[in-house]
Amino acid sequence: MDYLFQRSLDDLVKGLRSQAAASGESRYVAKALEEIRKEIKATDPHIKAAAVHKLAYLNALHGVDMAWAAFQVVEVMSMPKFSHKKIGYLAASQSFTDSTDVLLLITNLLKKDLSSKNEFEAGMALECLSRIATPDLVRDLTQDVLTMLGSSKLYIRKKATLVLFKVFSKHPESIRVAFKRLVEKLDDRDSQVVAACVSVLHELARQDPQPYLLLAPELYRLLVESTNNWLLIKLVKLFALLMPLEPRLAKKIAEPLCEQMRRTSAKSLVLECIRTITVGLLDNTEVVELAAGKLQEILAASHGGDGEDDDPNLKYLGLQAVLDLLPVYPQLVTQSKSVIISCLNDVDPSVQMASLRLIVSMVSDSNLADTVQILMRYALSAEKIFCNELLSSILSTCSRSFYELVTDFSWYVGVLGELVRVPNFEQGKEVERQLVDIGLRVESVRKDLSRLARDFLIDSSTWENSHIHRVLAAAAWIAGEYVELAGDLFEIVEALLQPRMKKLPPSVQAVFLQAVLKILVHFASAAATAVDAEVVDKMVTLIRENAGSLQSHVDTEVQERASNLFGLISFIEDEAGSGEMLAGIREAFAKDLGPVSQFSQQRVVVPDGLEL
Amino acid sequence: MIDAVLVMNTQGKPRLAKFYKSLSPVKQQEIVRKVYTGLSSRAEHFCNFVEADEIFGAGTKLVYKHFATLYFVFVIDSGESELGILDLIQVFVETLDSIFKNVCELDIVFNFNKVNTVLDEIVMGGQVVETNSTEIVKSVQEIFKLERG
Repeated sequence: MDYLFQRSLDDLVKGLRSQAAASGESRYVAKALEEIRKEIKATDPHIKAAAVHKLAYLNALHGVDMAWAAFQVVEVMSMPKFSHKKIGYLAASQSFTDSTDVLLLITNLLKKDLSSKNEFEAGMALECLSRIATPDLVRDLTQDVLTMLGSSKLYIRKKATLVLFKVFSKHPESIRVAFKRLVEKLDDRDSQVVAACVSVLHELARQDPQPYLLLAPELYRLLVESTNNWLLIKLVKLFALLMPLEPRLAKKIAEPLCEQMRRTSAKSLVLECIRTITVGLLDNTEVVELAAGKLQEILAASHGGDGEDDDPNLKYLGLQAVLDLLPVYPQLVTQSKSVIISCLNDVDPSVQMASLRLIVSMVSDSNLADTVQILMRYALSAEKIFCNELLSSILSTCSRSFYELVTDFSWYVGVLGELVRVPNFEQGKEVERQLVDIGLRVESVRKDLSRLARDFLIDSSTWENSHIHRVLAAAAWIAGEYVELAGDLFEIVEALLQPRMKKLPPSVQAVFLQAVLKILVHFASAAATAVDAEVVDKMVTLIRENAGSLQSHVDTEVQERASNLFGLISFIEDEAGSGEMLAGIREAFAKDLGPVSQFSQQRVVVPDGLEL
Repeated sequence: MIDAVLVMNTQGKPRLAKFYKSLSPVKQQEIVRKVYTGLSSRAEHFCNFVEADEIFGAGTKLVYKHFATLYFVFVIDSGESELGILDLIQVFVETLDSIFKNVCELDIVFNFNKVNTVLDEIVMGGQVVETNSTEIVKSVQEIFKLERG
């Protein structure tokens, strides 16, 4: 095939752009792929390379799979011409994975290119290795990479240093041989190489910091002397990983760290210093004061006044940093309280979340009520996602450690009631869980819960929101379980059996029916006077009218519970001496349910002879 | 660690996509879509950082800059400095600017190869290899010369 007729990458791009619709585009891609499949088999290197180039383009930007062409990619990588070779390397870097079998073929190719006199060819091989290295490749090529660490060319040294991270990650045994050589780069005459070295050390330390502690003296020297901002950032981050391992280290680096913070004009470095301080230097008041001072400056700079000159990045990062310093410098928060709270209202969701996180971490049992009030206020006007973040924060903060922070449960039950009525409410499941949980644990508040349950059941205007349904189930359960505390039982049964309930999910209907059963048992067994007996009759009539059809409901649970209910009714009506039986059933229901400890199962003794 | 570098236009079409983690082409396209969704709703005066836990895993963030019709996005984990990477995006764009003389989206569309070359001189295997624009331009021009043959 004459390459004059082959479409180049440029042609491909132009062709794709001329397609108006997405369907046209995918047809064009399919056609191009067909052409590529033919061209890629060509022996002419130019044609093959151009085909691989187009394929790489489609792979990167149009999600086209190119694993089938791995062998041809290797062929192109092996071509003598630099521009062709580079195409092969690009394709390999982006498409080869650990399971690409042709990887076995490229070891010698990489070896050759790594030792090329042309630094850009060698650099290309290093780049490829940094992305596709497998343990086998690394094992065979470690020595070559190590040799490059001593190159006279800065370009080679910095890239070879960076590749060592991949080398150590994929083939940890190489650390024994190569660690010393890596560490030597801390003394390299060029700061970019030193920066690369620190970067690698930092990445390695993130996985396991212990082995790098012995480098502390070297790193200290760099902290004192260096002026390369990128290097300093990585260095400060590395110290954050090392400090927890050795308390004396924190003391040593306090001064140079502060010096860097004072000297630098780069906010990126200041923020990293603050982060590191929060990891290991929180007991050093002088350092903390300096950090807090710098953070104040940053927060002040982030607020231009009336929102006009706000620096949103400093706002977001500043809030995060205040959160980190909170344990030792809560004053920062009180000083900037109004700023932090106003950020709940910020247009930027990232800032809102940062502010929320900060507020939640400031919660204590003394300010819980105020905090909840603030969050609730913002939830009312927030849009759906953030509104639910706020509500979810209220729920998780208050229920933390078995409601550790809540001192007044009556108040909290009220909060749950309010929460449910917030327009964008979506926390049905969690509220259901908490209502039942509190009912089980906090006897004194069961009356409040009963009242709340009654309100939910009677006010069916809230039933529209499908997220309320689980809450209704909880309400019904509470009404049935704590039936002695409920006010007007007839009213509740009416609410439980209103026509609307048939539109609720079957699982909720089932709970409703069970609650009616419990109430009926309670009422019928306690019915002493003729007036009471009349009410029982009315209840039974009501149940017959509204719940009759549920005995043939599609859902088996609903069917069963309805049947139970009607079974009970016929029992009440037919049996003359049903009083005793009713009392018995009532007693069964009267037993208090309590929460089950998560360790309960472990306490159960396994009987002899039972093999589990 | 830098997990990915993406350049996409304001309609969500990717112009450059480099992933430093092994991901299938299908997954890559899905990620590009998710990143676009995350960015397209943001107004100009919002901060340049978006938490990306649902897209790339816990602790990851999108650091992005919006220039004309393009979003330049670096995806980072907690091992990188947000402001530092923001500066790096600036370096990337300035380098492209000096190579293409006032770069625009079309330059990037028709120079897939060259743009990849530039990026490879800044980020290698997910780590930063060079932060100085002059150095990057120098290396890149040498490579272009070699490619011309």
